[in-house]
Amino acid sequence: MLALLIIPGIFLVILPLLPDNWLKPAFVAMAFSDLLLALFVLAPGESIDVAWWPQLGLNFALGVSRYNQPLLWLNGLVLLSSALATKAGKAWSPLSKGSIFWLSTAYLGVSLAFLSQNLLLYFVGFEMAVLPFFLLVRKDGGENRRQAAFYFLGFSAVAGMMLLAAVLSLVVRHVTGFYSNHSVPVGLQFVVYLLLLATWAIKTPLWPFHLWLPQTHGEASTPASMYLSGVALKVAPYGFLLFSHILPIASHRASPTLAMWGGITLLAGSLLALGQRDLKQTVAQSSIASMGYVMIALSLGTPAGDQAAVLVMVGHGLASPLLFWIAGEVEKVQGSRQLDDLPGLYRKDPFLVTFLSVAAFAYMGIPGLALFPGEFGVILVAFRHMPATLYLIGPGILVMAATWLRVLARARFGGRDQDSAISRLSFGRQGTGSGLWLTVPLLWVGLFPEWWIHLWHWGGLR
Amino acid sequence: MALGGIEMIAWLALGLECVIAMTLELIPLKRNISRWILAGGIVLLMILFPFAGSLPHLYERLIYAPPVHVVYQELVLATALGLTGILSREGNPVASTLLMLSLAGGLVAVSANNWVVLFLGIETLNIGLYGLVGHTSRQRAGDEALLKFFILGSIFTAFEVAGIGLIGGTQGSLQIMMFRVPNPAEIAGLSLMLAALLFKMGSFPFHLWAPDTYEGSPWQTTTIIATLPKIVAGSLIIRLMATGVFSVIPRLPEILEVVALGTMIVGALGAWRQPRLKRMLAYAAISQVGFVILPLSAGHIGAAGVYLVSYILGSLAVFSAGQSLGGQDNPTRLDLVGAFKTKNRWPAVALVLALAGFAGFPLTVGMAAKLYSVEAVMGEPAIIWLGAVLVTGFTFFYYFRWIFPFFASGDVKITKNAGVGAIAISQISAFLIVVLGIWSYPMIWLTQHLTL
Repeated sequence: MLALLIIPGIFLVILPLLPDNWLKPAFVAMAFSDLLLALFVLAPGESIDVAWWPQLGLNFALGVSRYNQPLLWLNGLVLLSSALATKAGKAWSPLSKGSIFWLSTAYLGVSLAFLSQNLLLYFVGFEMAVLPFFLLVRKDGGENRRQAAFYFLGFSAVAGMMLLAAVLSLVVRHVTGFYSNHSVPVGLQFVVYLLLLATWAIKTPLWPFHLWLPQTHGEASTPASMYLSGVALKVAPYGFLLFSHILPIASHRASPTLAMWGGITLLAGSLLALGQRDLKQTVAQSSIASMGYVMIALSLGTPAGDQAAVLVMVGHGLASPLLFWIAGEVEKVQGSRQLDDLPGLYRKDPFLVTFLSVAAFAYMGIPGLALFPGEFGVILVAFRHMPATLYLIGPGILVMAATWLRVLARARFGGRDQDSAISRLSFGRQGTGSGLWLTVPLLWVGLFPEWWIHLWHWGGLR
Repeated sequence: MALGGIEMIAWLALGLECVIAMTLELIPLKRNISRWILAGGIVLLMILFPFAGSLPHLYERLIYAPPVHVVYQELVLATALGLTGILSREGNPVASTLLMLSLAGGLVAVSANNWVVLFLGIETLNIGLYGLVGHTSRQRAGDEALLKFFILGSIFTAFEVAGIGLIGGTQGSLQIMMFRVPNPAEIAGLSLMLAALLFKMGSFPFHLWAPDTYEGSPWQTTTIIATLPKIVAGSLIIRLMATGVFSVIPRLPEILEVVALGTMIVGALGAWRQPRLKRMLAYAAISQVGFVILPLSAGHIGAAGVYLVSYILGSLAVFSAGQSLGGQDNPTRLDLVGAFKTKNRWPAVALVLALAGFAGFPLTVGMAAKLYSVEAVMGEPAIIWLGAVLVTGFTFFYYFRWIFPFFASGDVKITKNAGVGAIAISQISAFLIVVLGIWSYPMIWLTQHLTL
């Protein structure tokens, strides 16, 4: 388990010394070895607890649980595909020491946040995962990246500081671990819960606190977008899951409101996605809708809801980086990401459109792809505990299907005959590995969810 | 005393070293020699103070430095040792002498057990600093810096004299001691002393001298102004708070809370969008001082000590790295682009690490210090800790704004190089910022030994 942190740590130290042509192989090797570790070495129940700053209540307490194991595996996988998507000298997929350094720092932070069993250590991981993205967005990407980076930093700073205030309020009352036996007074629970809600609403994000997300994704480079949407966005909902254990009364009382808020986010995200003219923006807004599913499931506070939420996170963590990678490739092929410029893409690059179809089907919730089991689980749980949300989920699904059908219709059809001259086999291009590394698990999780659930020791879907 | 034979030796050595430093000016030596002698002398003092710093019983009414209590003295000495590295060759040997005098003043001030001795210490420190600012002034901005620093410094010297007069008059003795019964004159006197110390720290509402003085002085002088008087004043405030001297001032916690929050906010707003590095750092330093004062409002000595140490390390790193990167200039953000690709990459790394430390990025000592500082006031009203936390969030804006140019792509401009000393100091302090952020023992030890 410690190796998961030590390997990227060592990589960060030796990175400045590496010669330029070793950068990508080393980065890929680091991500691959962490993925293998996460897949084969972790076992739920492992834990480490070392005193670090005992006066502060900050201890180096790590543990693998049923819920963070899938996320750690996802973390390695998404980092690997982001690493494969980097390319030297390209503004949209940069391969420079600075970018790789900050991406790896974010990776280390995300791993720390996922593994943490200590409140302050989770905050440390959260900050490490969030702050590097300011530099990544500011550094490479579109023309308005400066504004996007400051949007990101502004929202994230508020979210991070609210989290810090909440964590410190608990820590000074000796609640330092997520599984500690200290019970929190009811009044304090509500205060902390409200502070935390601000964090989760911004970082998950929930409508209407999502404003930074389309900005950031619209301007960020492809690997940064892939990693941010794939894993870094999951740190907040995972935190919600963790903190619910120590604030049971507040969570219970807030549950109906929050479930409805999740439903509204789902519908709002779908509608916003439908309204976009830009492929990358469409993906970004669809992410908000998926986070709506996660929030509905988490707010209910049942084991089945938590599992469904983690499944949606995994599914979304596979589908959205894939779509961001596709959006980056589409821009290279078509010279534009506008939906109106998509017709004819299939003639130019059939393999890319095949990837696009798989990912779009996943977003539409087609059975057999990774988002389906989770979304189905959410609907089942919502049906049992909070049927009112179904009125929001139903239209949300329809709108989402319409959004992606529209994208597929344009990408697969149209175009002129002269476009059809495929100069080279597009499958063989550099970077396809990135797509494959996400598509195969996308199918695998979707087709055999029970196999994975067995691997994660969930004891079957409840 | 077990070691009665060697008591006082540290103090005698201190005096002797001052005399040696002054005498060396008369002997034509290579310019760097005086710096090495100074550094060697400081190391010697650091070794001597823990066991030979105490004084005969009679003198203890004036100066108090028993063997186990020399944390403050060692902190001042360590800061000065770091400063020897950044002294420029051109300024020597005069600069070495002035630094030695300032150090002597600082050591006397932090050990003072008598208000007049404290005054003497602070004034010796001040005179050394005036000398340093004036000695290096080559242009109008430098003269302006000196004048502002000198005039405001003199006003606060007058405050100190008035304060000591009031305290001595009502108390009948000049001993630094705890008051039991509040008396308006004593309260006024102590408030004046507190104001003078806060002025030395550069805290709100006495911060106005800092940005202009920082900007007008050359980098090495700025480094000294930003560290030595602050560690002396900070140690003094911490020590006097720990011994309860100021506790007679009514509503002291509230006063300190307002001062701390005001300092943070003024500094943060000033640093935001500053076009030049040194002025940004001046305001950033003001903002940082707020976090030193904040825990004192809740009587949390250890947290203030940890923050003070992290602030001094950060300042040493940023200013020495700034010296290496800027030379005689005051760089803009555009000037810093591509610094990693030049020979100056190591100071650039130090600057990035130190700014990240100031911002409180995880795995730096700055993060632990911020947590200490804010955790100390979690029992106070929510506006205090929420304010401190939100200011921390706001500071990300300017720290990351200045970290970014190092990673941006563009034309390389940086070619300056200040010499080995400044680079070495920037590396050592940046290394400590990271190591102390990960290895917690030294800071935990510090919090336990400040209050003894």
